[in-house]
Amino acid sequence: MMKINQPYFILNLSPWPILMALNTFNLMISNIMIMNFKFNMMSLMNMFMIISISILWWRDVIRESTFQGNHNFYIMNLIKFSMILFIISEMFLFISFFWNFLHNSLAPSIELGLNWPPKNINFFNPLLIPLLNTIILLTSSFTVTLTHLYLLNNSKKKTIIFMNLTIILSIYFLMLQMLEYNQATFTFSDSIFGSSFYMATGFHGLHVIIGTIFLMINLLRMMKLHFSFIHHISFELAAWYWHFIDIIWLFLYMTFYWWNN
Amino acid sequence: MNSRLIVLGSKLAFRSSPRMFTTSAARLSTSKDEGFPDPLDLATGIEKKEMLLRLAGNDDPYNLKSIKRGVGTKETPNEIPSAFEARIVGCVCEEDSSHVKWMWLHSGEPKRCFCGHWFKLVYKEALV
Amino acid sequence: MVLEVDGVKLETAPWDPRFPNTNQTKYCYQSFLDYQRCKKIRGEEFDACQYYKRVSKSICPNAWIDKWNTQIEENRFPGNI
Repeated sequence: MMKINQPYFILNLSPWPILMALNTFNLMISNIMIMNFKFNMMSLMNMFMIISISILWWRDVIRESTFQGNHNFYIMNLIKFSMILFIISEMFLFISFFWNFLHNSLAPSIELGLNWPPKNINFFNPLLIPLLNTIILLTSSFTVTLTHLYLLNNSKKKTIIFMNLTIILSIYFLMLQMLEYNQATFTFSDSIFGSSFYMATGFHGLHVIIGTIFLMINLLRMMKLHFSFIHHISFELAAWYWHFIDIIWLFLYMTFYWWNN
Repeated sequence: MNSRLIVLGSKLAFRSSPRMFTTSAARLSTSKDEGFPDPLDLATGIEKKEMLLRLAGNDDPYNLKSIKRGVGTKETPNEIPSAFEARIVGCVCEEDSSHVKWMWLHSGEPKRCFCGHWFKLVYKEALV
Repeated sequence: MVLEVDGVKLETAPWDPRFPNTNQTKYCYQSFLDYQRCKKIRGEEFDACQYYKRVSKSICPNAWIDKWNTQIEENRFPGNI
C-alpha cells in the first residue's frame, strides 16, 4: 500500500459520479418526454436510479469518514467550504425567483391590465396558514440549534429528542403547505401570478423535503453513534442547510405572501 | 407466526451481510444515556493518528508549516523530515524576495541551496 | 403633432410626460382604459371621452383594439373599468 504523509484524502475509484451524471442527463430527457408525449415510465426508472445511486454514494462517504477515518480536520474544513459554496449557489437560484416575481409585480404588463394581483385572483390570507408556517419553521430552527447545543454537551438523549422535534415540525410544515396548495383558488397556469408563486414556494417546499431527509439521515446516524462532540460535520451541514431554508422562507413570506396582499 | 418468521429471516439476512448502512460506529456502548462516543474512541485511520499526534504536543503532524533554518553548515545541516526518497526544498534567499529557489533533496545526499545553506533528508515515519 | 394638408387638419396624439419611453405600449393601453372608464361614467357622446378615443385609436394597433373590444364583450377584459 502507498505511504501517505499528507492530510489530503485521495479518493478511491468510484462508479457513482459517472452513473449519477448519466442518470441526471437521462432524467432531463425523460422529463421532456413527459411534457411532450406523456410518457412517464422512463422518468420513474430514472428517479429510482438516482435515489439508489444517492443512497449508495452517501453510504460510501459515511464509510470513508466514520469507518475509515479519512475525514481528518483538514478535510473537514474543505467540506465546510464546499457546503458554503453550495448554499451560495442555492441562494442565487432563489434570487432568480424573487427577481422574476418583483419584475412582474412592480410593473405589471398590459396583459394583466396593469393590475397586481391580477383580476379575479383570490389570494389567501397571509395571517392564517402562512403565518403558522413561519412560526413552525422558526421553531424548528430553534430546536435544531438546541440539538447542536446538546450534541456539544454530549447529552445523547436530549439531542435525539430535539432532533425528532425538528423533523416532526418540518413534516408538519410540509403537510400544511400541501393543505394550502389543495385549498388554493388559483393554479400554476393562472397567469404570471400563479406561475411565479408556485415556482418559488414549490421550489422552497422541495428544499424543505431535501432538508428533512438530510436531518433524518443525521438522526439515524446519531442513534447509531456515528458522531462525537468534536466530529459531527454531517449534522452541522444539515443545520446550516436548515437555517438557509428558514431564511428563504422568511423572504418568501415577506414578498410572496405579505407584500402581495 | 409469519411475522415472527419474517423478523427472524431479516435478522439472519442482516447479520450475514458484512457491513450495513446502519452499523453502529461504537459497539461497546453499555448503558443507554452515556452520551456520544468519546472522540478518540470513535476516530480511526489517519484522523486518529492526527489526534494522537496533536495530543502528544505536535501541532504540525503533516509537516505543512515552513521550517526555520538553523546553522546550516556542512557539518550541521538543516534536517528536513520526509517519509519518502526525496523532498522539494526551497530557500528564500533574500529576506524580501517573493521568489523561492526550489531544489530536489534526495535521501543520503546532503545538498547546498542557492544561497549556501546545507540540507539533509531525515527519515520520518509516514502517517499511514 | 399637427399637420395641414390641402386645408385638412391632421392631428395625432400629443406627447404625454407620463410615458417618456420609446415604447408607447402603456400609453396606448392607458388611453384605451381611460376611454372605457369615461364611457362608463359620462356616455360615449361626452367630449372628453372622444379625446381618449382618438388618442387610443392613433396610438394602438387596430388588432389590439379589436381584441380588447371582444374581451370586453365576452366579459374577460383584465383591466379595471
